[in-house]
Amino acid sequence: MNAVLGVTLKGVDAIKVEVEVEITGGLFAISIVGLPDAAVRESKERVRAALRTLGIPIRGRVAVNLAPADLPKEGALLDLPIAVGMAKSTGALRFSRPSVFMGELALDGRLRAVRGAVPAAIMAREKGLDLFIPEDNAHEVSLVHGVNAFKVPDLRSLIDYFRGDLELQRVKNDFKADQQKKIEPDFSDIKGQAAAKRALEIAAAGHHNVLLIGSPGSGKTLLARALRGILPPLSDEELMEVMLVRSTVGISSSRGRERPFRPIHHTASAVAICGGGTNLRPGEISMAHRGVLFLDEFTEFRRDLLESLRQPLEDGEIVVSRSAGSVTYPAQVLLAVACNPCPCGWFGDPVEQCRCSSNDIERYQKKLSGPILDRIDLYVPVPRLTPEELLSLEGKCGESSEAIRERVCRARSLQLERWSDIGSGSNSELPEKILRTRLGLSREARSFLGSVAGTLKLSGRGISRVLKVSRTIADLDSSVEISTAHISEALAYRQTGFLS
Amino acid sequence: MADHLLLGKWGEDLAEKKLMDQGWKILGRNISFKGGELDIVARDEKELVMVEVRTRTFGKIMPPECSVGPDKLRKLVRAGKYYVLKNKWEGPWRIDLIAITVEENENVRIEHFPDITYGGAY
Amino acid sequence: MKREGFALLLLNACESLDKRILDILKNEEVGLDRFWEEGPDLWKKLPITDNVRTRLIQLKNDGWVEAECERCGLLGIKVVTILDDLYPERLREAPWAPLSLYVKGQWPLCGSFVGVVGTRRCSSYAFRVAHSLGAKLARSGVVPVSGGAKGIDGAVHSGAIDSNGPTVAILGTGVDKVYPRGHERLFDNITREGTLLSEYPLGTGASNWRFPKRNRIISAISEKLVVVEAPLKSGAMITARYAMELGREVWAVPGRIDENVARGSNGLIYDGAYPLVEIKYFMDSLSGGQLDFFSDGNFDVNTTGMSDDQVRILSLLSEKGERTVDNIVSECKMSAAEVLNSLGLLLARGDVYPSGPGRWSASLKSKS
Repeated sequence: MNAVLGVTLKGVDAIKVEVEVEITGGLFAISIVGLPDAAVRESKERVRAALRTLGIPIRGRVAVNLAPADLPKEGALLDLPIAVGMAKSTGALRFSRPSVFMGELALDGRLRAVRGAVPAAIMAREKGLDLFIPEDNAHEVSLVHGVNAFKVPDLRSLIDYFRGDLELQRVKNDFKADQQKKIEPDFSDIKGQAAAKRALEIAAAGHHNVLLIGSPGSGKTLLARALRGILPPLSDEELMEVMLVRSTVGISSSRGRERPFRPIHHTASAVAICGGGTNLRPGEISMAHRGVLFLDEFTEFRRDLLESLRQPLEDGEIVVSRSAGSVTYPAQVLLAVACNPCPCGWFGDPVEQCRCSSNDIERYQKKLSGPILDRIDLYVPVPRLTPEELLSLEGKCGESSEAIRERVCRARSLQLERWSDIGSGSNSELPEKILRTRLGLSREARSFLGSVAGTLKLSGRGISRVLKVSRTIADLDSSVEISTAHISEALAYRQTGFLS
Repeated sequence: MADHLLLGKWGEDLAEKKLMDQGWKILGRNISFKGGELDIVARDEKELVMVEVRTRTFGKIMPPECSVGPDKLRKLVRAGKYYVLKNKWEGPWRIDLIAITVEENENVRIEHFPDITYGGAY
Repeated sequence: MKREGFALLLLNACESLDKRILDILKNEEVGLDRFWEEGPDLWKKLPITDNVRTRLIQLKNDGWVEAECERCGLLGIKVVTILDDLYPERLREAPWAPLSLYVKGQWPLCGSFVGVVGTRRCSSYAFRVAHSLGAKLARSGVVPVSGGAKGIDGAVHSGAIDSNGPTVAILGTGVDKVYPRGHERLFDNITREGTLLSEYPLGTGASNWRFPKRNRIISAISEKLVVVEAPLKSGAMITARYAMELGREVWAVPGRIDENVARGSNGLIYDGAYPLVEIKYFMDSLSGGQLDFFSDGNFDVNTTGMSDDQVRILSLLSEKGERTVDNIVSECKMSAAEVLNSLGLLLARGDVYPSGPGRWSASLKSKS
């Protein structure tokens, strides 16, 4: 006897759920046990209606057991296995291979797309099971190599398939990441801001977190949005991880190899950012996995929100613990943070007058420290250009995102090669020990750093930050050694107060 | 016998005849228990069916199928359970409704609503 | 230290005594040496209040003076008494001059002293003005003097520090204390080229009534006084009043007339203070306008060891003032990376500083 299998999601993993159906005599009733959530409990209405349209009437008392009994099951994706289980116990169909079914049923028996198709496909591949999925989920599943998956348009075709009357289409492993579209905004669209562009190039090349400080209207958000365009395209493995998260949330469309960019607003709840909720879902930080997480108006964020971001930034994954259990979501993000230089925003602006008292500014800048800021390697002031300054730049447009991306990719591949033995992909993740020994610091650069460390009062952390950033600058230069010029450029991206 | 009871009896006869024409096997008529009454008990292939018959002449406000409310349904379910228990029936069973309307021009309309509890918790 | 010095230190520790006690001692024909040697027996005959006498006796019996000297030695703090050559001349002339000063940092400092004061709760406009005043004064060899407090005071000091010049902070606490909190680093930096100065014994903490007294010293020690921004009731206004009593020239930076924060300083202008409408005019007025400190572009920077790029950037910044990286890129015809690595190096050398988000200015060094 082959059990009917379904799946439920735990984090980004699909857990196998065995669907057992028993039909006994009595007045018609369906009861579902095994910690179903509301969506699963309601599936009985959809399932019965769908079966009835197919001419498989269900009579008597139906008991549906979802094993394992102690795992909470959620979502409409169990509609299909329950329907198959019922059909099987009325004898309407039989099958020989252990199979996993997933899909939400419409009342007329059509199948609707569900979230979690990619995790289910991975699970099916590992366990060597056949997988039956709604047609609309086929695109994302085509990404998973080596899974034996079938596209099911509706319940009738599935039953016909098992009766041998119909062939179902297999899902081919032909996932084609769309040609990288031009990502808006392009760097060449942004006037001026040469310093910020350069800093973002370094951030992209070495995966350094970046803080943009500037007055309203200076173009912080625009720059942050453009950052995505200069990141290297997703590798196969990364694409898989991104799709896994997207599938878990229920977004089945793909954006090709474009990296995610998730801006979050300071009014967002901790659940929205970190993930969770009554039926656990990944939050924004996981949606930004392998891409850019952008926090605008950083100083407006509540302290507890920032606290909750600290652990995922450190570990590259986030553990969400709820009464329903604890799950882990991936959260490897490039953090871009933007804020005003002072409460009113006009501090240091040559045209607008700042109305903040120095106490206000001091208090404000105090907020710009703490757990998240410790993880930021590049501080990038973004000046609001005066009309004259803008005019003087008229006609000069900078490099396109594509040209920058090429340099970034080259620098990334240098890093991948160099750090392959320590399992780190970028300069920003380097452990302290490596920093001291394998950085390729030239003799002059070392003595230069030694001499300025005192006058600039660099802390231990400050020095390692400068070292990491200068390593990336050297990589962009395709230079084996870190020279004095690399170090001194890195020094320009340190946090420097404008007041003290 | 009062008029309305006569009408009821006439309707039930009509319904029984219709069911027999369909090939159902009639197991009993007007089986009453303390809590309620089953108009017709019949077999539809492997399933036991309790049939409630409602007959109305034209002009009543409600059509006959609407006159079975939740209280009546509960009574029917209770009676059905008694019957199943008493007759040691182990297969599936259901409750059907046959609505008979005598129209103005003496036309008779018979409608059959199968499984009126439809998995509801009665 | 000589016995004379011990005596002055002891008298100073009573806090209520100042220069006038010296006249009293002279009238009684008691020298400071004798005052120290003979101790309590002599003091009974002097016309001083009982409170002071008790305090003197107590300190003397505790051996406080010797202990204080030892503490000063350990912390590298100098004591300058009113009879010392190093005692600031202008201050000595004041009728209430303190008997001794504690000095932490470089002393003596050459150059004339200019007081720059203002409110602690200042606008950022005033903060910028104070910062650049501090920087420009220090760069021209003038020593900006202020009170080491938050706000304007801090801006003046840090301006001077940014241009690597000397500055004097006159404190209302002992020089070994840091008040307000958060100025630890600033005070450290001040002692590099300049001085922390106080009349109060080591360990004296902050209390309200000492700060106006400290303001007196600022006004007395300075050749001129600039009030950057001050509401009607503020320490800066007290300083301005003392300065006027002493006949010092008072300048005030005009502020907005609809805001309380500048009501005091604007009022000074109405009352006859010089309005500081251009820093240049103020600078010209110093030392009789004999020195033209602001011959633009004619400054003398040590450019040894600098690359051509760095020299180009530095001279652009010092000739044309504040610039964004974009401006430098287009005006010097360099790439952003080149500009930034030059700026990083200049920043490390202390030749430039970020003067606003994304904007850079040259910090010209004082002639050393």
